[in-house]
Amino acid sequence: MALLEVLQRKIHKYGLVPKLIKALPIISLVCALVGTGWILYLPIDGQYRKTYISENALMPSQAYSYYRESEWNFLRGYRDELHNLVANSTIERNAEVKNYLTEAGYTAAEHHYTPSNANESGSNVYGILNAPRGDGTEAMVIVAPWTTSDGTYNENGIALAMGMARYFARWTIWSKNIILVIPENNQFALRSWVKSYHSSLDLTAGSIEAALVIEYPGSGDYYDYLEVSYEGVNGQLPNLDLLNTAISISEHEGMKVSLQKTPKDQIGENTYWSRLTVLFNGIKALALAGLKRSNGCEVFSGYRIQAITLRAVGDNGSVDITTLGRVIEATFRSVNNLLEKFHQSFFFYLMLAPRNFISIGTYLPSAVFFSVAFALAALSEILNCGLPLPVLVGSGTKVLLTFLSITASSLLLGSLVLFFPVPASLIYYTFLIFGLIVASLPTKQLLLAALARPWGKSNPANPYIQLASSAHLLHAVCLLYASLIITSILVVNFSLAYTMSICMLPLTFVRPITLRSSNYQENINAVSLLLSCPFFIVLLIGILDGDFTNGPVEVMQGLLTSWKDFDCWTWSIVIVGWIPVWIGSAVCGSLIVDESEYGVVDLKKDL
Amino acid sequence: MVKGYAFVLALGLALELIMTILFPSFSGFLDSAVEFSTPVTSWRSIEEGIFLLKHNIDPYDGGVVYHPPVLIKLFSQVKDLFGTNTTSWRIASGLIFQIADILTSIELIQISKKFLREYKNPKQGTYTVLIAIFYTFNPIKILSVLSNSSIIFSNLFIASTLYSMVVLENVALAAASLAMGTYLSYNPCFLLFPFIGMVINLKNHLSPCSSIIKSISVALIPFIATFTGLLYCSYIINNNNWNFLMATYGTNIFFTKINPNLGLWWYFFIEIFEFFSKFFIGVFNIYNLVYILPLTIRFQNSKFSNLQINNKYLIFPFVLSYGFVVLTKAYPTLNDLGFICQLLLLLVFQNDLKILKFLRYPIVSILLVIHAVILSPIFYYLWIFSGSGNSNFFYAINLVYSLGLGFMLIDFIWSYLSLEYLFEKNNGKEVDYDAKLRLTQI
Repeated sequence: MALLEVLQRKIHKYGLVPKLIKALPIISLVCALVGTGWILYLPIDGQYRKTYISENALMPSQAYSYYRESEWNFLRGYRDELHNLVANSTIERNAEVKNYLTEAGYTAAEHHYTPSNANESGSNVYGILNAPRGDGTEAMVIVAPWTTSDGTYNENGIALAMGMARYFARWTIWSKNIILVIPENNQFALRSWVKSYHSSLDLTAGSIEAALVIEYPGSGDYYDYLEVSYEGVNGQLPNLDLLNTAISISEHEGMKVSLQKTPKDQIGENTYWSRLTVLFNGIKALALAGLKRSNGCEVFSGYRIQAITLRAVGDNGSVDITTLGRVIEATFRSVNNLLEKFHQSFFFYLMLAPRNFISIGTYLPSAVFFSVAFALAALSEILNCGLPLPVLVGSGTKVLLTFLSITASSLLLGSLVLFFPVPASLIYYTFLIFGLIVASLPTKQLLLAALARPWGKSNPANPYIQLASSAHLLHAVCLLYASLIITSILVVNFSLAYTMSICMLPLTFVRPITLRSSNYQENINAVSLLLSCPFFIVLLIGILDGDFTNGPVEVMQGLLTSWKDFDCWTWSIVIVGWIPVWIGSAVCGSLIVDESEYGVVDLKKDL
Repeated sequence: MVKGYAFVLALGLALELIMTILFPSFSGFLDSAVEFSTPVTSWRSIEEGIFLLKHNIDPYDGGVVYHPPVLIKLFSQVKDLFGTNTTSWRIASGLIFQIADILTSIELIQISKKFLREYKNPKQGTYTVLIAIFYTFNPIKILSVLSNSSIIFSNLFIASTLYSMVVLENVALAAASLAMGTYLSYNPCFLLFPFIGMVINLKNHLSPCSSIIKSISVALIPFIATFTGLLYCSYIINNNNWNFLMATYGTNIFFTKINPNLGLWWYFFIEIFEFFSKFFIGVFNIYNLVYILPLTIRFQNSKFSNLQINNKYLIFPFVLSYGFVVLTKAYPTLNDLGFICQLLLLLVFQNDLKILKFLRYPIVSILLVIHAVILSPIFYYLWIFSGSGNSNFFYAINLVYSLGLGFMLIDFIWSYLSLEYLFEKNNGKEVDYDAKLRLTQI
């Protein structure tokens, strides 16, 4: 305590408090820059860590894998049969596969579901191999969808999965049940299977510990390299041990592993730039998870299932199809060793390279800095606006009510939009145009007319003071709220928190204009509002991200449907946390002009 | 404006009642939320007790019921009125809690009004309405009332103690209220010390030469009489069995029901620390008491204004002590936070809002508490439901919450001491409260 006292005395002596208060906007900006820079700093040598297997029971690649050429004939047999089914309907295909499964000794069943946007129902087929050893309360899942995420026929994938299923049935070592699922696709169809498995399916096999989604389109015998995806929705990731196990087994089998769709020629690289690329692609993928329908492992989110997707890429490489079989076999044997649920290692991490990662403690400060930056900006808005505190507090109730109603209406409209039977494109362009109008200059007068009147009334003698104080306070409340939102999601979904804070950062530059403010302030406000408009960001994502073939409309579609399809929270966070802050700041930025209507008075002098 | 605040309270009651009627599962949801419900305060446990009592099974045998027998007996009597109509019983039981909460608010508002009147504050009416709004529409308060947590009754009796002391100046009634609060939830027993201090001070003001022994006995005799009376009633109700003592007070003291909650205790009783658990029980029970006596003694004769009202009612150590009890108790909930905020507001009005001027870091403590309140369900979710977090996440946020609450209390002490310092420096003359104090230590 003595040290604190000395510190406090020094602070008083040098009058640091007022100086610090004056510098608050700069401190806030510095915090934001540190937050951004932090991530750039992490891929530097010495900042990241090497992956390791934390759970000793896993023992990846310790047992010899027997899935070799002897099994190739069965695999080819299945593939030839499946090749003939390309033109058939899913019902016919499923009936056929169900036969294979029953023949192999599996208890097979079909699962019917109704897609959210169609009338006809789809169906998935799955089979269960009861564990020869063990009590059958746990299960491992292997998934091979009929269509891969690119929309191609997953011929090799299903043939391999069937071959594996047949092969697994001959082993007596399994202490966990094995479930083979062949869904129509690895998106909504698989999600509804996972949902039903945990609620209504008759044929189940205990709690699912791990799931592998296999994608291998085409009918060749060879492939180039393996792509591993691991992002779940709402910031959930599979336990790092599972990912490490899969990567270590794959590399042990002599194939190259690509994370975050690193192209073939860059896979072996491990430089600062390659790590940074993987890191940023990872953040982007996790922030957009659920919106982008591509992996298949995200559908297992929310049920404590560790899931990854293995995707064989290319068809003229040096790795043959049984190698992928051995990867699956060895991974299953590792998981089979587990006596407890995955609990060691990390659930929160960012990958830099297949064998390098950063853990939560290292990257979290960057989002914390953003949160602090917003809080400081809010504080600066209150302390540096030149109005005495009582005047500001006086407009507190009004401002809080205003902000509350903005949030409530955003939430209401945002949730109603989910149920509107209108195409996403219409909703999107309406919102985008609204955003552009609000951000641009001419409407300010319009907004004023609507909002200034009730705000100005309470103090008829000098109404602009009330107005100015309300504007400042509203902006402060918005920024504080933004800080709160970022803090609350930063542990759950760091990537979303980080992306959102960067997008919202321009809002801290929106300033009410007084006589003291510069001539450019109005333009700064407009640009800031435009840059941080959620729908403008959607536009940017749609244009810049090649995975969204339909552009921004597809992003919007993802935002709107992911709530119902995947229980993904991104849209709700946007309508609760982002849009209200943006509208509040826009209102605050628009109200400024009104001061001139009352005849601009230097507030400081007048008070 | 009396109508004004009554209107606000009625509006709050209506809102809560409507929520009870429209969302039948909401109170059950809150009752299962770790922030609003602990084994010793939960509504499920009361209902279990009613059921067991009705079937002539000893409620304290199974380790499910931790509520005192009189409370369960009363609720069971009320439930009998409704027969098998579960919907109306649900609404009626909700209403009982809501009315208890409204009574608490009314008592505390009356105290504030007395202070405001004494200061001849020109904005009396506005302030009363503002207090009522703060009391009624505080989201934490609304949620805690809807959670049907039995701590609400205990809070009611603590408020009654203050009300009887300040507004009625009836020591016997106050002592009896405190005894009832103690009977219901154990922790208020620590308030006996500041309460005796309050009584001595009040007696001194009413008749300056009254003896201390007499004051203490005036406070203690009704307290002990009520408390033993209630215990004896419980003994009779519980089929002449004392086992309820261990289930109710024993659980609070020995922390036999180890559940995660907002408090500081639970983490130390998890399995890997089992070796130390006896030591921790000792430490935490001492920690419960350790702030109380110093606070009581230090503020016993403190003066910072000529005004009679400040010196006559020593509510400051009482409220602060309860703050520290909440900070250190075994099974705290957010309900306690709501109640502490209500009590702290009393201190603000006792000093005619001057105490607000000398708070050093109100923004920090408020932000800490808000962040903790928002993050705690999120971290609990990560630990229990999504499985990607662990207990350390949740306990870390409990520490932040306690830090925020502690900051709040310490800040009030600092501000109070600053006022006292100003008053003493000016030898009791009128004090300029707008003076900029540049103190680092008092």
